Amino acid sequence: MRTGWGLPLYATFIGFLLLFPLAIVVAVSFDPGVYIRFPVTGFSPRWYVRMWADETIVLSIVNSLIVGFSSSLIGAIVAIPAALAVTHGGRFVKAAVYPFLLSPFAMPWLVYGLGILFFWGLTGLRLSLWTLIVGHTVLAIPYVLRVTLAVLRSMPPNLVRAARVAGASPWQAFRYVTLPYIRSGVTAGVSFALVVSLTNIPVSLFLTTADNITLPVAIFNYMINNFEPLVAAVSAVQVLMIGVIIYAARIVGGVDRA
Amino acid sequence: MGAGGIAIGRRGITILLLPVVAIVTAGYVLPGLVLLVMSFGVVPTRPSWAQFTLEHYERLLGDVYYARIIGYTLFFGLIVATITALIAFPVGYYLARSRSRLTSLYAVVTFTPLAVGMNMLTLGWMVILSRTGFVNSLLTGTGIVTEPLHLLYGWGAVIVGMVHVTFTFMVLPIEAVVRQIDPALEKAARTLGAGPLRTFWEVVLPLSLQGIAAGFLIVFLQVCGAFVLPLLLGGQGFTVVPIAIWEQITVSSDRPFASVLSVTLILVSLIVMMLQLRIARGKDLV
Amino acid sequence: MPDLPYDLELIAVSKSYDENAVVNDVSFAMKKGEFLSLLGPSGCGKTTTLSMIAGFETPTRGEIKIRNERIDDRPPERRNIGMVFQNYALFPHMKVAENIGFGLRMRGTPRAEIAQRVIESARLVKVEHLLDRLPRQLSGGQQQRVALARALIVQPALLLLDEPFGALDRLLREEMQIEVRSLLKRLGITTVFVTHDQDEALSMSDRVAVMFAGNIGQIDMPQALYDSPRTELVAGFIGKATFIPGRLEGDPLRFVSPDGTFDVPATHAPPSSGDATYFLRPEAIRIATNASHYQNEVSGSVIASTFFGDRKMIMVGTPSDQRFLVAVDRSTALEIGAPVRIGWMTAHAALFQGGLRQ
Ligand SMILES: Nc1ncnc2c1ncn2[C@@H]1O[C@H](COP(=O)(O)OP(=O)(O)OP(=O)(O)O)[C@@H](O)[C@H]1O
Ligand SMILES: [Mg+2]
Repeated sequence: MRTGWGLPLYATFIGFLLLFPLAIVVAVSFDPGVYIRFPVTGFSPRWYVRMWADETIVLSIVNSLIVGFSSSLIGAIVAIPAALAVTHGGRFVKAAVYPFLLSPFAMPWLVYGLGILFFWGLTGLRLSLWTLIVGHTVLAIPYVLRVTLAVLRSMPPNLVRAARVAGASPWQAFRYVTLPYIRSGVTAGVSFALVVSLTNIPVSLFLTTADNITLPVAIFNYMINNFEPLVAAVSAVQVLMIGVIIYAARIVGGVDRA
Repeated sequence: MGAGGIAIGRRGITILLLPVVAIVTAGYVLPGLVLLVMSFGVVPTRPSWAQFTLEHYERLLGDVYYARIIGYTLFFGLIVATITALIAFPVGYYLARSRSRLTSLYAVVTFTPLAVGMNMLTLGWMVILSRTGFVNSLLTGTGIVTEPLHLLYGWGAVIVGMVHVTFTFMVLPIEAVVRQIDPALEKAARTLGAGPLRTFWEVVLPLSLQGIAAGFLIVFLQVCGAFVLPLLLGGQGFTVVPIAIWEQITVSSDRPFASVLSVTLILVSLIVMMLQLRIARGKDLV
Repeated sequence: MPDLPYDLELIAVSKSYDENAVVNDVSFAMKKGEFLSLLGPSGCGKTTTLSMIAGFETPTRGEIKIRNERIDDRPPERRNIGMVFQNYALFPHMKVAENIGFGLRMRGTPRAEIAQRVIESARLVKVEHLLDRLPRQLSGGQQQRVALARALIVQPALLLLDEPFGALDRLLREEMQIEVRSLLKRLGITTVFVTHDQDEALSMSDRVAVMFAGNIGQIDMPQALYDSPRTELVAGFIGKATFIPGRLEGDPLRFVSPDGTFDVPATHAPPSSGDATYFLRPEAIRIATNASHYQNEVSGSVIASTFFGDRKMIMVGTPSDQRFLVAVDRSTALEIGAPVRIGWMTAHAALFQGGLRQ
């Protein structure tokens, strides 16, 4: 049906509004001054240079990448088998185990972070990158699980059967048929879990110390204590990292060939 | 694996689920239980009945201040979810129906709020709304106002920010549900004499309710649990439950009471999640 | 009969899903090179039967043997079976050549040999020019051929085809039926073919097993199935026919119906008095003229007439509201409502009692 001009125009306007704050941040990040304000007073890469001299920020970027990649990969390694189990499982698995595994998605992040803080405190262990990795893995699981499950559900059951009669063992059928089929879905889920980890503040907030601070928490601290264009520059770099990750995932995952 | 059959047997299912259940139990269930136990004043390492107390819950229920905070939080969730639904519906409908080559670009754009991170969005709106920010520069620069307006800090700023943050969560289920509506239905309504608005009201909207409800609940959940943006855009006087929890930890160091507030928030989430499961009924709309 | 080795034997195979019997006591045996069809209405258990042979499902009871060996404990990959699925189940992420060579790769065949045999297999089904394409770049008929090549390349002991032509249009379908049949005969491969299309089953098979609700109603050569169906159900399912309800009475027994009293056709078993059904193929009935002389004749009027191109069928209604299906010459011109007299020879009729042919 013809939709006329109203709808596309409206969608464009909303799209513009969604992007506008990002554009503003990027603009501010090039301000040579020490205050965040608009319009910007000039153009200078000053803060982009400054941030690499800031030890906290550099450390937090490294930490974030470690935590993000570890948690999303571990999440995938445990969530893919779980997705298979949910597709093949009985009532109990579908009606109880599955919602249970998804529930971290609905948990308020700050509350979850607090729980981990108390729990870790009880064990007497020091807060470390591992603390964060475990926490972020739990967050990653629902993302990978959901996407993988959706792809698995769309997969014709006869594909695995065809592989099996053709001589594939259960493992070979998984390796050569199921895994390639779900690859693009899994990489999408993993990359999204990675993005969640790279941007998460509330879960990490209580769990970070000077050693294991993550990038978004570092930015958060700056926003509270040190409101200068540096924050904008670091945020822009963070978004750039995310963009690269999502783009790379599309290449690794391949366009949906199914 | 049954003899010959290719279904995965009970044992196979158990083995496949073991790692994930172990991680979620250790990393999530136990911390949750610790919160619960601590909310009753019990120290989990040396638990004893003597410590058990309801005083922290009594404090929550006895103080109008906290009742008001909980009320604000729920109201906050409702109002943001409503506004987001109204703004997002046409966009979701457009994404589902348009065959323009630009739709994939729109899809990327509608995805950005989820991808760029809370600090980016918060910062963006701070710059737009602050005294020396975009809007005030525009208004004073053009002489519409002489004194900068107080746009930042307070309900208005937080609502605008949260609508932005949760936009994707609303668009996706709406788009999914509209995709499932056969376009022939709309054509049929039009041939039967219904105008565009009538068609929307009588056909599209009733068939989209499931998606709208799914989006509404997710957004509600996200807003009730949101912390960073409300803290930074809300300013001094703006308190919702997550901010109160944060204050209990960083300012008062009152762990049991922070646990009580946390348990309250978890309860809200669980209720919303039950509703979600009922509405979804097996359909994956997110 | 001497103890011939069979390629496939099913001995009283049954399958139930929680108390729900889906396949019931199915038995048959196939000699090498035989082409057997499982024919039956939707949901009668054809796919389930194939699945048990292939090893996707475990029979609740009974035994399955391939080349005289029990295979119950063997997983699908160790049964040496080729299978073509409904909608083909080609691997969407693999090129045609990879799809065809998959079975050999799983068996650890050296690459060079795989490449060689893929080409041979592809030639067999005439897709050698498509080897570099992905399945979604193929037409339905081409996908069908690739699926067949993939199943045949491993030189299976047994080929299973589950409604392989279901998704093709009629012309292509008939072309493939002829081609596949002659290819499989040439290769001499034992084949179980599932279909719900009776024309397909009758035209392609050495034998057809007609299934109803999990049971095999009759297993026979196509012509025997059409000419002498053993049960009323099979008679109704295969081809078109007229069924006249009535009773066997008197001494000698005669068939009594509102449309007249007819002699009892030759029977296998002695019939007894009681309810019975009289059965006539459309070809058995002729239009009676003054000159013709039939043992049985009834009068009625034409109530419908259908032209099929190569033949024509009319439906004749009698005053008692019985309908007769009559095959007539394609040039026969009879108006709807025209009075007509029809007749047949007793030898061309059959009789069912208690659902069974007498
Ligand atoms: N896993 C299962 N659980 C329960 N019932 C099943 C299962 N698989 C099949 N059935 C039932 O068994 C019956 C036979 O199914 P089957 O697929 O063998 O039929 P079919 O003859 O192949 O039909 P069609 O021509 O429609 O493909 C059907 O009634 C079906 O509902
Ligand atoms: Mg079937």
